[in-house]
Amino acid sequence: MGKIVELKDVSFSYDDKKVFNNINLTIDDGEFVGLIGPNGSGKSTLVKIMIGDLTPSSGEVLINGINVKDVKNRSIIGYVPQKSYSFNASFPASVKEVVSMGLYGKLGLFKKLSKDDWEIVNNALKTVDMIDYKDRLIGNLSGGQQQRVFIARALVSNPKILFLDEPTTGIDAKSEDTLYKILDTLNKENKITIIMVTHDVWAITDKVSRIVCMGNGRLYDRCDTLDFSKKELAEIYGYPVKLDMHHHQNENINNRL
Amino acid sequence: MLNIFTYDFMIRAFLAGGFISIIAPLVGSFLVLRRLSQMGDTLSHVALAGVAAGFLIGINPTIGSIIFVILSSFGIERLRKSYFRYSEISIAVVMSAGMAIAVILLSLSSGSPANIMNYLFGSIISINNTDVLLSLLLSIAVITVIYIFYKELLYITFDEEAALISGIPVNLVNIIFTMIVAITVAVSMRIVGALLVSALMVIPAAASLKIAKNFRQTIFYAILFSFISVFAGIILSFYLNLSPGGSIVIVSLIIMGLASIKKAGN
Repeated sequence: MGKIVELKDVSFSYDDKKVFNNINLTIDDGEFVGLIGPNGSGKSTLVKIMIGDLTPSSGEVLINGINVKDVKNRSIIGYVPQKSYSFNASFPASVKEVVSMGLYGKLGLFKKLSKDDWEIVNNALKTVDMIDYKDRLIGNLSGGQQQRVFIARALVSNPKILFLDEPTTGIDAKSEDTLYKILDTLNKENKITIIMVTHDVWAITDKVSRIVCMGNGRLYDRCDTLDFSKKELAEIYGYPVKLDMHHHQNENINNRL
Repeated sequence: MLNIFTYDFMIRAFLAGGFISIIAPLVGSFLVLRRLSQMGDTLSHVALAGVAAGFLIGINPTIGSIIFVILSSFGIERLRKSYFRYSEISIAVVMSAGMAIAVILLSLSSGSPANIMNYLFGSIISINNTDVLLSLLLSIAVITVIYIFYKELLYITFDEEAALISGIPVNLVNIIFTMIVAITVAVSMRIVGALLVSALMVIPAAASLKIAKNFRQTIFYAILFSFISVFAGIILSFYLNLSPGGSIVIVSLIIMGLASIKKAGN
């Protein structure tokens, strides 16, 4: 298992405000990493730096050993953004049109989608169990269904790493469960490395292979291990975190903490 | 009743009108979905400044307006980036600048008030063969560019951030798109007039949004509605002696109303 993502002394500031400082992190091929932390801790910013959308103030990000800015084959990086920020819900695009967009970057300029490309779109829709909705308008779907369509859009380019930014925000428990099953399959069967930002820390403890926390301008690795104490977690969030209040409470982490 | 096709100027009007009825909604659909509906309006004000400059220095006013509009389109793109979350600021600023320059140049130019009115409100009688040829060539250019960059424009319009991350050259495509918006405005204002040019870009697309089930249909219906509006508007303006621009826009508004009723009925 090789290193697929490496962050070396990565710092980031908005104007003069420091968001985080000297972050080091290595993610191995095939991992499913949950990235947690309170609002404003810089989780989404860190993801945007990892995918090359933002440039760090200092330090570097390597994808498969290459600086992310120099990665020519962008299709190895899949990204599912926070939908509320970038998505226009009333856009008149069908589900299959939205998913096909994931192929555009790989195709390059001047090339049109082929029959094979549409087959790839259909397969991605089957993977996320949305094939029956392919001709529906994206805006007419529920939040959970839209999120699955965006995952399909990320999958069509056959990524090696999939970044998801709070994919469960605003969706119901049943849709959340379906989403995690899909991600589990992608990770275990399709061997895609997954890095997922979430607020829902206790829901992911039994889903992911590793939890990384952000807070106080720092990154805390392996928050799901015995070494990581309840006190540290309270320090990151700024308040004591009550583990027994969540419906997805995970006994393992509860016992450890 | 007079036969509309016995007049050469009407044939020219139908030809030029046919071209703009395709390119205005084609470009307009992307503008509406990018929430930049006012951009056509802004550029038409800048185009007026170009017309005034054309009169002043003695070049074809349509060419003058294309040059002005293309230059201003770069200004809009720059301002749009610098005020990312308030991109409409770019449109308001450039509109004011265009109008200010137009007013100053018009006061200096020797163009007759009638000529200026033709550009403000549109005219079918004054369209000459050069105008028809120019609109044909520029329309072919606009359609070709949209055909080539269709998928990139669609992705950027839907989700600019995701498009950028997937490796699409967003900046390049945005610049090219702004230029074709500029050309569309300059060509369209000859018939519908600077004051109504954005209506032809926005209203057919708005009507189309009410009934389309995917993006391709949105473009198809927008062009269909625009085509009907332009031809019905020109015919009405001929027989009833009305302003062509006003007639075209009123027909397109009626179509939009019908599309809304159809949507409400579903």
